[in-house]
Amino acid sequence: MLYAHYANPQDSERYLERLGQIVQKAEVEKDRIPPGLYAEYGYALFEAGRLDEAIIYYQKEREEWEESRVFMDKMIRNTRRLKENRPGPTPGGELPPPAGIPPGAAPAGEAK
Amino acid sequence: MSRRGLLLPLLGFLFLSLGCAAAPPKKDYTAFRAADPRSILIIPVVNNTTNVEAPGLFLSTLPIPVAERGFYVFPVNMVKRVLEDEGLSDPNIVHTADTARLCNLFGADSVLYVSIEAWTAQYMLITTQVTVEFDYVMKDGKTGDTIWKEHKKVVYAPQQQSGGGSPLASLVAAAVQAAATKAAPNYMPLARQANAEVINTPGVGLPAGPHNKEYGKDTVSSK
Repeated sequence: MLYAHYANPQDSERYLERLGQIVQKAEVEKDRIPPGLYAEYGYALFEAGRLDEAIIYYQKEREEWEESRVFMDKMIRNTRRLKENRPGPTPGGELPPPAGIPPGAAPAGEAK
Repeated sequence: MSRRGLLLPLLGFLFLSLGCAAAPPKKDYTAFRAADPRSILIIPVVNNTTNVEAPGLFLSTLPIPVAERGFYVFPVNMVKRVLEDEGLSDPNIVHTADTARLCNLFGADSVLYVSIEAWTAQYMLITTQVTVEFDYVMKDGKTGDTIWKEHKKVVYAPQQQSGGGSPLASLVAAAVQAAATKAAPNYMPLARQANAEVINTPGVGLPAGPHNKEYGKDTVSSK
């Protein structure tokens, strides 16, 4: 999965979709979600400009794995800050704006 | 037991353990147990080979075996991107950065530093030999001390069939096999094999982490 992503990193839409499927599958089949899975999915959502959903998955990671709290809290804070600064020509904060998002609200799952 | 029955498993074992000649002595886990990490930050790997794809591919093989030992493993892809955003896109720089600072950034207990020493396919007349070699070092996030390390080299050369069938047919088969390996050298199974042997081998691998049932039991010093 991650292997496919690295072998072909341009295909980020497909990566997001497949990661979503893996999360769903893991939620049904596994006793416990593997470490980092919710966070990776949250970050893929973040990169797609779906900030609200990204925060939800960062929170899930944080609840599932207490070891992730420091990192997830930082990511949640940064994402919220980025959200507040939108729409704007150059969002501030430590993180660069996700690519491919038109200024203003981007509806979730909007196709290119 | 017949001689033959003994020889076959022995050969299999030799093949699996190629590259690590002698049985390694048991490790001293005192420093590891003192640090007692719950979480491991796997940072982007340093590439000491000329293969540009190797680091990304190899990084993707690391989280699963480490997580299966019972540790929280930080999301490797996300960590890589966040480090890039922090201006740390060169793994060589990340590897020389202060361990404690790195751990602070993510709230991690320890860092796993891995470098790729070999990732090559050597084309010979009718066979292709694939070699991977890695160096693994784990450091404590508080002290920066090394708490575990390992080195692994795995070599794979498709075996030529001998006996049975005509010599010509087996030569053709070997040539076809070499062509296939040449088209797409199969590094990933070797990389996974190296990781599994390094991380899972009792007495030398990673001790069980807090999410593993064996936690605290597998490294009790023998008195």
